Order: sequence, then structure tokens, then C-alpha cells
Amino acid sequence: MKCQDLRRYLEPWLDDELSLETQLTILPHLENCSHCRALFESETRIRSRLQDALSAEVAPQRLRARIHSSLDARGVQALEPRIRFWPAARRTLVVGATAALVFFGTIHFESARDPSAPEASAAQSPVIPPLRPRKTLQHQLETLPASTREAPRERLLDFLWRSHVSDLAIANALLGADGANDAGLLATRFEAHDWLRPWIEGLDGQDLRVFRSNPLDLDRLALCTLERLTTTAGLHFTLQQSGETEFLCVAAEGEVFVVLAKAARSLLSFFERLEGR
Amino acid sequence: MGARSNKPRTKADRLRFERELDPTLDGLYRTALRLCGDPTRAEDIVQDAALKAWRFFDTFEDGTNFKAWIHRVLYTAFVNTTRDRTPRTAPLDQVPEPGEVEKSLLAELERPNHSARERAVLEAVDERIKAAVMELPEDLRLVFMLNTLEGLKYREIAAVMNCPLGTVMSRLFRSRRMLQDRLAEYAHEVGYTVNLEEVEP
Repeated sequence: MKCQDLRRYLEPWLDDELSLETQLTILPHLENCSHCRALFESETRIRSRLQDALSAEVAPQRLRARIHSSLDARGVQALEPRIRFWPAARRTLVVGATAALVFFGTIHFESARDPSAPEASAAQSPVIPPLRPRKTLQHQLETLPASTREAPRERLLDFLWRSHVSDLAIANALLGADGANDAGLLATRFEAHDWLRPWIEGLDGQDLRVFRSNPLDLDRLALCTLERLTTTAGLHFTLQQSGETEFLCVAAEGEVFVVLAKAARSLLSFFERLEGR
Repeated sequence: MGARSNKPRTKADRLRFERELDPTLDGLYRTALRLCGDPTRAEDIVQDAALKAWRFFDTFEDGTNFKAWIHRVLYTAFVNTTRDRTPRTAPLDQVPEPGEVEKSLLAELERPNHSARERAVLEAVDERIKAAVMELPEDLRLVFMLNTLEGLKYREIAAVMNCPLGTVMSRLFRSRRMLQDRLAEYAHEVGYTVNLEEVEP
């Protein structure tokens, strides 16, 4: 890819309008061309500044009240009190679910679990409704050309670091990389990103909401992991969705594991064990 | 939007509607505010859109983007309230075709003034940025808001505005460049040294 090609794709890329395949053809050029990288970073900063300036206004509370009372007057009456608590109840449900490792079938992570991690209480009472596959992502992954599948994962991770999605990159490193190298990678990055330290230190308590909220980043995450798993362990990695929640799934030895973010460390250990066989 | 829906609404419908609507209200209000420039009128437009959306909620397809759907309702509500006003949209003949967009985008990105534009945007105060957005023609302003603030995809914006995909791309491109030009002018006016013709190192 030449500079001219990258610049043609730059704005659609920042708008998340490019296919995964095209994105992956861009990354190597961006890494090696300082001028295009500067342009990319400049565009990113401009967008961020404009968003900051324009996103401060919020709908006044009186507008929300007006809308809800107007809805009440149009057929269906006000919600019953217990249903009014739905948002809080849903949050509790999600937090509860996210606080645990949830698997279909047998939980295989027991022996690999970090001893300091809290017990997964929700595993005993599954609250996750049936999953449906994200066909588009699976299709994208399955149709990637061989050369793309073999893109060096470090290159992708490094790119993520430099493209203002550092938290995703950290999680990617923890989820999808080989332990020793990425521990070193994180330690190196810590020096330059002190503001990230609280995020890292609190990582055990994090869930996958960042990934869940952005399908593109889920794609990136899956892709980074896919590259490693398919080449080293012969595993197939997919994403599935249930309602607002998306799950990382990996099929291994005839079983499907559904993994939430809190399982990141256990997942890493699991992969290491698997590869050590 | 089709004929008025007469399908009875249940509490479950209402609950589902509110769950979809509530997270979008801030964005709807911002979009309406940028369209009309008047907070009171923006509230009226959003309320009107919310009630229309509730009326036609059974036409909303599960699994599609509610935010895009209700922005289309909002835009229709806005257009309906401004029918008797002078249109403030950019003439369509000024909107380049997609092929031309690519060429001009390329030329624009290759112009040696990008760092100057960035400085101008970074240095502008929030109120000036809002004012510069309001100075954009209405259709450019809307496409810019829907993309940059609300994160809608090109095809979703095309559905909101009922226009071809290529038109969305060209309007988006033009809105960004016009905005940056205006902020650069502002930066120059208030004393920042922003020379758009300067050469990057």
C-alpha cells in the first residue's frame, strides 16, 4: 500500500466504514510511514476535540419528564413501581453475571484460576439467555485471506497502542497474547502511561463492557486472538451475542467455552496450559 | 413513515420503547439543537419525534439500530416544522459525486496545511466550534452531527436523510473541511498564527 492509498482510506477508516480485510492491509503501512501516521493522529485529535466541544449538551430533565408524561397520556399508563426499578435491576443482573465465569458445559478453568480472584458465584445459577452468533464477524473471519491471518499480532497490538485505544490494547494483550512477552510489553508501556495504572490495577474488577460496546473493537480483539489460537493451538474463536451482552467464545476439545472479561487471566493461563501440552 | 399504527400497545411495548429511547435522548436533543439553533424549539422537536416514534414503534425492526431509526423520525419532525421556512440546505449541484469526492479528499489531505488546521481546531473555544457548526449548511451540519457525534454509519445516515450513500460521503467530507476552514479563520482573527499555506516540516 502507498501513502496515496492510505489517505484515500483514512476518513472512511476513522468512520469505521472499512472492512476488516482492508483495515489489515492499512496497518503495516501506517506502522512504517511516519507521515501517514502523523496525519492519522492529527485527524484523530481533531475529531476528539470537536466531539468534546459538541457533546457537552444533554437533554434537560424537564424534557425527559415531558416525554414520559406525554407517553402516559397516549394509551399505556405509567409503569408499575416495580418495573420502574428495571434499570437498577438490570444493572445488578449484568454486574452479577459479569462477576463470574460463565461456561456452557464444564468449567475447565478451576485449576488455572488466580487464587486471589473472587469465587464465581453466578456460575451456579446461569442467567444468560440463549446466544445467537454474530454471523457477520464469523463471515469476516472465515473469509480473511491466508496472508491476513498471518499478520504479526505484535504489529496489531502496537498499532492499537498508538491509535488511542490503549485500554483495548491492554486487554488484548492480556487476553490474546503469550504471557511473558505481553507482561513485558505492559511493563514497558506503563512507564509512558502512568494515567493507565489505575485501570491496570483494577483490571480484575473490569468487565468486557468496553469490548461489548464497540463491535469493531470486538472484531479487533477476536482477530488478535484468532491469529494466535489458530496458529498455535488450532482453536476456533468466535463472538456471540445475547441481548446487549457479547461474549468471547472458544471451542476446544468438543466443548464451547463462554468467557467474560473477568476470566481474562484465567483464560490466559488456560491457553498457556493448552499450548504447553 | 406509513399510516398511523393502530396496533394496541402493551406495558411490555412501553418498557421496551423507553429502554430504547432513553439512551438516545441526549443525542436527539443535540442534533435538534444543532439543526434549529434554539433550545426551546429543540425540546419541542425531540418531544414530537419521541411521540411519533412511539406511535409507529411497531414498524421498528428488532435488531436494527434504534438510534438511526429515531433520528430519521426526528429529521422528519424537524422538516415538517420548517416547511414554511426558507430552506438552508446546500444546493445539490455543489455536492460532488463520489468519484470527485475521492479526488478532492486526496488533494485535501495532501495539501501542506494539515498541521495548521489541527492547531486551529485544537485552539478554538467550545462556543466558537458550536458557532462554526451552526454556520454549516443544514444538510452538511446534520450529516456531520450524525456521524461525528452520534456515530451513525454512512448507510444509516443515508436512510435518515433519504439520500444516496455517495451524497452522505461527499457531504461529510465537505462539512469537515468547511468546519476546519472556519475555525482556522477564527484562530487567525483572534491572533493565533495559522497560515493555511504553510509547509509542514
